[in-house]
Amino acid sequence: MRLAARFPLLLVASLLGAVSAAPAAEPSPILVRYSWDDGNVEAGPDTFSVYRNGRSSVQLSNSFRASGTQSVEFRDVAGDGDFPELLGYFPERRDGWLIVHFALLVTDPNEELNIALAGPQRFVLGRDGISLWLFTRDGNLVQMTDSIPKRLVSLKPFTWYAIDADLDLAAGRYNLQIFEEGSDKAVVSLLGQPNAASQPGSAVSLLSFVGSPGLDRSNVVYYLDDVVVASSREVALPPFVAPGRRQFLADQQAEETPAEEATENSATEASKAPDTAVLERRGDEAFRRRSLPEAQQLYEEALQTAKQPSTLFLKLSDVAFLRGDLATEKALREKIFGSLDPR
Amino acid sequence: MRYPRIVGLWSILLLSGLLVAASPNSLVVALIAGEDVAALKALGPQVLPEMVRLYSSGDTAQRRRIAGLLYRLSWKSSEAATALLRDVETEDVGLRISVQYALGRVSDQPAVVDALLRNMVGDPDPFLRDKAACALAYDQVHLSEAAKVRLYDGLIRALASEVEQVRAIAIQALGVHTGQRKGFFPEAPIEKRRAAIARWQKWLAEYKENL
Repeated sequence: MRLAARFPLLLVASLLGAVSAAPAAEPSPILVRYSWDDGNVEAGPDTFSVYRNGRSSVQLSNSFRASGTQSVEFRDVAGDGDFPELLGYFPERRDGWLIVHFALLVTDPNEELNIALAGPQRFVLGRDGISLWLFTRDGNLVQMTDSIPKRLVSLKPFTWYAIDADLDLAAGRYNLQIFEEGSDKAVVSLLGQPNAASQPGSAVSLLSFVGSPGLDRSNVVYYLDDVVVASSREVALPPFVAPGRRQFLADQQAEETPAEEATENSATEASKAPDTAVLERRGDEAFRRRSLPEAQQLYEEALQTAKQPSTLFLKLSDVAFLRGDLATEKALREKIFGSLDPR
Repeated sequence: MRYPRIVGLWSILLLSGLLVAASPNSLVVALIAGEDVAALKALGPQVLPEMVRLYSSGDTAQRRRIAGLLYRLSWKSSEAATALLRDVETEDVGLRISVQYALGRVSDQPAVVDALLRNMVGDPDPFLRDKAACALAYDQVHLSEAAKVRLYDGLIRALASEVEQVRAIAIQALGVHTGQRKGFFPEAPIEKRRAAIARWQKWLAEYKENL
């Protein structure tokens, strides 16, 4: 089953055209684009994380798709103590326009799902928290606007819906259009809706698709396709250096920490017995020299005592990538960010 | 990582099954004494009647312990709510706080919201008023969108309290639920407060229209 080829938001179409014609490193208005058909399905710090704990799952599927050959399938299981999530990352935006587009198909509209665009305060109502929040309730798609849940449309099962939200971030308002598969006329067309908690200037940097994160009461199965987040201004995103990331972590941290400060820290730490942080920092220095065996050894030693191993896993994944060991790279990265691989 | 967890769960279930066969009540007593939430959870909501019975017949320490467990289990139970409501105005501070926190975790009854609003607005102790507001802000997990009208209405009415601290905790609780203040500041001149309350009342009317 496929969504009618014509997606109504011409702006998104033109933006997509613009980006496909431009080299990867050139400025582009596209912040996020997941079609699942172009091979760019790798989780990572500059793409997305996948959480599928408990009995829930998030995985690529070719059972249904709005375009191309694949979509992503979400399955939640009530009472399993967890929920499925795909959490997308993009550079923070606080003003200008932001365009969010995706296609959604639910198998049972009575089961709960939640979709939220949020900022650095993450998934709470308030400034820099959730800006756009759509969810299902009693068979309806509902928006949270001005902290009030408002019904949008009664969803039909096994039917694709194309959802377009244009957010004026400084004003804290958005326009919303929803198109049902097979129809050219919008089933929802709203202008100037206050954002979720009516917060002008609220920042956004995350896009999340989940089941029931609260009371764990959903058995939802739904499909997601053609996700696009675009900005009204062009953004110079660097190209990907490895799957899922645009910069190696040790290189990124070097830019974030002034050289003098790093030297002072190293001198202080060197006088003590080697501990996790010292070993990791020495590993970083070796990595930046691209002395990869030394970096790997130091990171692995640090891992023995690390209480929060995720950054070390990612750094070891960076080392594995540069050493050409792509299987290890993928395994280590997916320990942190998850995977869309069918299971 | 997954295999030991499964073995652990099966061990609990087998052990629980053996103990339940021997003496179901003594098992629940033991799990309550050990504050073993995981094992109680594994037994399922059928342990609730016995927990409520033990709560009602227990001393203050036992009641506080069981209220804490009911909070952590978060299973809806009208029997538990009825038992807890009997202690919602107790003078024992520790028990009062545990009961206030647990009530919203076991019930969506209007009586629970009403009791917590009464404590938030009318208790002579500002500390207990504050804890009642915390319960209203964070623990009303079973309330439907329609049932929240009663909660919002009570919090908005509390914005007009003559006690500044009551106004402050009411707007904090509204902020947790909605992410907004609508320009209400508890220490502001009364004219400005009245204008903000009017904005909240307009908001509540729109909320009701959309149910």
